[in-house]
Amino acid sequence: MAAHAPLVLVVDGSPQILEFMVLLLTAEGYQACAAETLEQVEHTLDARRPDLVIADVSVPGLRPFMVVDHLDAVPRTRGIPLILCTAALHELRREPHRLRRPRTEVLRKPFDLDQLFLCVDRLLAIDHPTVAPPNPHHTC
Amino acid sequence: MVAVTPSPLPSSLLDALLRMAPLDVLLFDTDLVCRYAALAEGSLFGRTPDQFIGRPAAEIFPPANGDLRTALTLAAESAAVYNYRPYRYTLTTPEPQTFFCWSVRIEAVSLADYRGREEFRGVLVTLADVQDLADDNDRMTREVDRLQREVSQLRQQMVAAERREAAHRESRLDLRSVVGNLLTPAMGYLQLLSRRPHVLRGQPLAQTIEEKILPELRRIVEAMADDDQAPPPIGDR
Repeated sequence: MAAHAPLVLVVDGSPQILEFMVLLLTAEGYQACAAETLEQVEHTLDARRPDLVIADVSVPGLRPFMVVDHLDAVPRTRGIPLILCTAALHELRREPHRLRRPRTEVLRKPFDLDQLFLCVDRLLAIDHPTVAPPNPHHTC
Repeated sequence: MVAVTPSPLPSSLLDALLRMAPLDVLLFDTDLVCRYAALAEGSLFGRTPDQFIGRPAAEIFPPANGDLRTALTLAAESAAVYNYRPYRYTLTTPEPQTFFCWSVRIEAVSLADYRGREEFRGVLVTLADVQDLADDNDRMTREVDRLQREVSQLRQQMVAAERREAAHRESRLDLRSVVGNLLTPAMGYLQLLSRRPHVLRGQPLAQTIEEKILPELRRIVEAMADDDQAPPPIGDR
C-alpha cells in the first residue's frame, strides 16, 4: 500500500458491510478504515483527516445524517468529499437539501462496484488531480 | 279629478274575512278577558268563538300547559311583543292529550277612534298552525344529525385508514432498507468473484460462499419472515 494512498473512512452500521468495504478498498490500493459508531468516527478524524468518507445515511443509534452533520461541524473536516451509500433513499427524499452539499454523491445499496469506484475516483480527483487510480486492476 | 276616500268596510265583513284566514285570532282586554275570537277551524279546544268571549286567559290557556298566559300578562303590562316559532302546546283533558304546534304572536294593541281617543287597549294573540312544518323540520333536523354522525364516523375511519397506510408505508421502507443492507455484502462478494477475483486471492470459493454470501441471504429471508409476523400497526388493533 503506497504511503500517499488516499485514506477512505467507511461508516456503516453493518459489520459485514464494513469488513467487505475495507477488504475491497485495501485490495484496490486505498487506505481504508472503518467506523460503526460516532465515537469511532471521532477517533478516526482526530487521528487523521480522511480524503474521502463513505457513509450510510442511517446508522443504528444515530439520527439520520448525524455523521454528515458531525463532519461539517468542524472546520478541519468540513467539505471532505462524501459518498452517501445507503438503502434508505426515503431519508434523502425527506431532506433533499443534503444533496446540495458540495462534493457529495449518492450511491444506492446494493451498489455496483464499478459505479462505486467511478464515484471514488471522481471525488478524489478534485483534491488529487494528478494522482492516478491506485490499482491498475480496478475499472472505472 | 277629485280623489274620493273609500267608505270604511263594515265590521261584519272584516269579521268574516278574519274567520276565513288560516289562523286563530284572539283579542284580550287589559284584564286578559277574551273580547274577540276568530278561529281558522271554526273551533279551538272544542270551543266555538262565542264560547271564548268573556272567558279569562287563565281558563283558555291553563298555566300547566305552557307559558302563553305569562306572555299574555307581560304583553298587557309592558306592551312587549312575543313571537314563538314554533310553539308546541299540549292540551291536557280527560280525553287523550291533544298536541298543537303554532306560530304564536302576542302583542299589545291600542285602538283609537276617529278623534284619536283610545277606544280599546288589550292584547292580540294570533295562532297559526305549523304542525306539519314543525314535524318536517324536526324530521329533517334528526336526519341532519344522523348524517353528521355518519360523516364524523367516516372521517374517523378515513383518519384511521390513513394512519394504517402511513404505518404500512414506513414498514415497507424499513424492510427495503434492511434488505438493501443485507444484499450489499452478498452482491459485493459475488461481484468480486466475477469481476475482481484478485481481491479474494487465496480464499477458497466455497469458503467465500459459505461465510460471506449465504449468511446474508439467510438474513434476508429471516427479515422478510419477521416482517410477515410483525404485529399490525396500532391503527389495525
